[in-house]
Amino acid sequence: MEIIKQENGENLTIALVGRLDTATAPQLESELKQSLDGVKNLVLDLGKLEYMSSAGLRLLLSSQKQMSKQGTMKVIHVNEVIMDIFEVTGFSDILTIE
Amino acid sequence: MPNKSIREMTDRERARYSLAARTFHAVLILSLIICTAAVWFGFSLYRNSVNRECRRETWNISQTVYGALDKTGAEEKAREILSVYDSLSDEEKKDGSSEEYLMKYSEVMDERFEKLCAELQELKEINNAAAVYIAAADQTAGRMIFLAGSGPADSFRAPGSYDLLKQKDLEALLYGAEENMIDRAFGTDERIPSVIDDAGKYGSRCTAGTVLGGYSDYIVMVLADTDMSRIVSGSRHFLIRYILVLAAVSVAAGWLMVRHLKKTVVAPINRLAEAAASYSADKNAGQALARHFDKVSIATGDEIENLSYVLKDMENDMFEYAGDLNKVTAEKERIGTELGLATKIQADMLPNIFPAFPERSEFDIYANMKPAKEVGGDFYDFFLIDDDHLAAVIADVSGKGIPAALFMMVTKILVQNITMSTHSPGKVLEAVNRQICANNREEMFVTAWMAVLNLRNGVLTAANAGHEYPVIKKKDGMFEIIKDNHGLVIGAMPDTKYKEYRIQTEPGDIVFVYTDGVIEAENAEGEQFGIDRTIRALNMAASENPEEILKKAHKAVDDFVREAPQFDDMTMLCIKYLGSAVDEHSGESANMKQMSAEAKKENIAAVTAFVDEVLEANGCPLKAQMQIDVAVDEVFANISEYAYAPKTGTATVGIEILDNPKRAVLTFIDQGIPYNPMTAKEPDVTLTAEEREVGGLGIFLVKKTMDDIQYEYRDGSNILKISKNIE
Repeated sequence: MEIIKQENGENLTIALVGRLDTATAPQLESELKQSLDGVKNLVLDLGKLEYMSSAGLRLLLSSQKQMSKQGTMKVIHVNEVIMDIFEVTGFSDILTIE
Repeated sequence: MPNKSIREMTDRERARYSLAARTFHAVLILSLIICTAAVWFGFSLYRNSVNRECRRETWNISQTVYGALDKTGAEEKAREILSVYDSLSDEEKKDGSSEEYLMKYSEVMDERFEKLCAELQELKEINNAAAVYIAAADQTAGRMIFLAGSGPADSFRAPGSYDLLKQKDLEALLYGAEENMIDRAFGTDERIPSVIDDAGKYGSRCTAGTVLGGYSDYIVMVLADTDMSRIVSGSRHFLIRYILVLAAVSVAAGWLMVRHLKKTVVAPINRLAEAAASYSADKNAGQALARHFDKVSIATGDEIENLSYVLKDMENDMFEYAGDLNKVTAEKERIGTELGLATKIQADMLPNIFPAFPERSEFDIYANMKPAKEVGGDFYDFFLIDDDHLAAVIADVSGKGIPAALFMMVTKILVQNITMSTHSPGKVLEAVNRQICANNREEMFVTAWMAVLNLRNGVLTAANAGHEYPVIKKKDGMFEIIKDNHGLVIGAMPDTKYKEYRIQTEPGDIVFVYTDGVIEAENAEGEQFGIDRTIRALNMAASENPEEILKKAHKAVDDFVREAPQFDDMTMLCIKYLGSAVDEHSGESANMKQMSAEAKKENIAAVTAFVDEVLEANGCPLKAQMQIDVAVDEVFANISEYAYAPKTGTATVGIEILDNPKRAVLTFIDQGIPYNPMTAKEPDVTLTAEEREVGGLGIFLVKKTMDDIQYEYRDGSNILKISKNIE
């Protein structure tokens, strides 16, 4: 998985390319730990992400919990496979998806 | 009688044997008999009366001649001639007409002789006789010796010449002829001394005489002849006319009778026959029936007229009957068509295409139903509830025919619908029973046996609602009855509970179920086929597949029943378990691809790549592939995390592509601590982000995105199977 970060003051956009699964989740987890401090608006661009496993969901959930305290988080360009996963797991209600 | 029947005859033959012809023949024959009798009798009377007159006249002439004759002279002359006759030897008298003999009498022919002859000639002419003469009868020699006179042939006869004389004729001359039969019968018999010679050498003559005197042994008589030829020819004419008239009258009478018969009998009968023939012709030509007898009018006033009325009545009755018959036939045809349709619908309702599941290697199934009437109350059904569970049911509705068939349809649909929501045969039967009881005013009931076979492990779960005992053959054994727990029939009590039982079947085991129509099939002697014969027939075919087993069982029943009618529907169902498609022990089957790897997160990518390769090779849609990848990730991560903690071990991943529906089956096997992911607590997906916990999502996702997931712990291995449709 490739992580493309774009910082603009309090705004952070992270684009994910490839697969977010058990193997790659730790990579994103460490990236988020470093980058989320002081961010008000987090945007996750999943346009190039093929799929996401529960490891990815866990990261989204923890990120959402943190961002709810310090600002906003939205997820954009969600493909059909991942949207199904969000809906099945109730994440579509938790996340702000555009 | 002719050998042919009247229908085969030609018109000419028919005419010969017609009533008229026969009557004509009969009249002619009768006339012939009557005429013959009449002619014979009438003619005899006629002849007798004529003959009598003739005898009387001749007798009178002979008397007259006797009275007028010079008796002394005649007697003298007679004696003279007879003495010459006496003096001659027998040898000399032998030829009465020879000249030599007659010359002996030359002396006698003197003047007195001439005078006597002249006197006799005169008397003959006076009396209008054919001949008048004097003769003597020689009784010893049987001769009539001519003495004097005109001679019997009205020509000169030499004295001494003689004719032969029969004793009978002599007696008739002296005392009268013998009695005639007809005269005796009529009392007209009268004896007149005379002889009638119808066809003597002097023609037809009547001779009568009076005795002049006796000399020696000779009787001398004065004789007179009268000619009868006129009388004979007259009577012949009479006879011919008589016969002609009688024949003409007979023919005329016959002809009149035939005419009358034709008019009063033959013609009316022919008219009736024609009417009957037109009726049949109409019928054969398929035309509408017309009234033919109505047109025939017969007024003979006898039995034939009566017959025509009777036929008219009969025709009317037939019209009414034909009308009724058409209605009844149309109705029957309609019912027949509908029944045929009903039978087809019913047959189509039951799974009847075999092999039913050609793609399934775990079992072989065959069933059939043979209804006693057009539609039956038996049914069988089988279907896959899911990939691993086969449901089979056999049932028998009370009664037969359409009511039973309707009830059967309802029951069949209920069973199938309910089975789709539970795998438990007992619960299915309970639910069906509840629904049937809710609307069962006719108090019909159904016996049913239902089973669900787990194709993966061979466990057969069954329940019995008052149905016949199942028959099961273990792999190396014989067919045996399983006396299972009978519940109450369906439709009797609303809250009946049905106990389930389980049988572990091994590959090769056969389950056979049937309805009572099989064991209660009767032969002509009223003997039932029975369960023993059924089991014997099954064992004979035990090595065959279910289709052959059923066919042989049917044949055994047919051979037993022979021509006896089938009273009850006959239904059989046979399942043979062939074993799981997945080899339970090694966890692999023939077309399964496998890889083993150390259970750690670093190997997930390799496992995913391995799975992806198989999926892509099988044209798996991208979305399904992504979902499978997620599942692989979740499951393998789980094994890596927990199975061997804190140490590490090996995990085996298998993938297999199956058809109908096309699906990928993944098998994960590890030898770690027993863990059934199915029992994991599911996350509450309705909570807010703050309330939610991070665990439990993985397995939940797998359950939600995959079509089937099954776990088993066996022989120290966790075996998890997930299946995903990749159509």
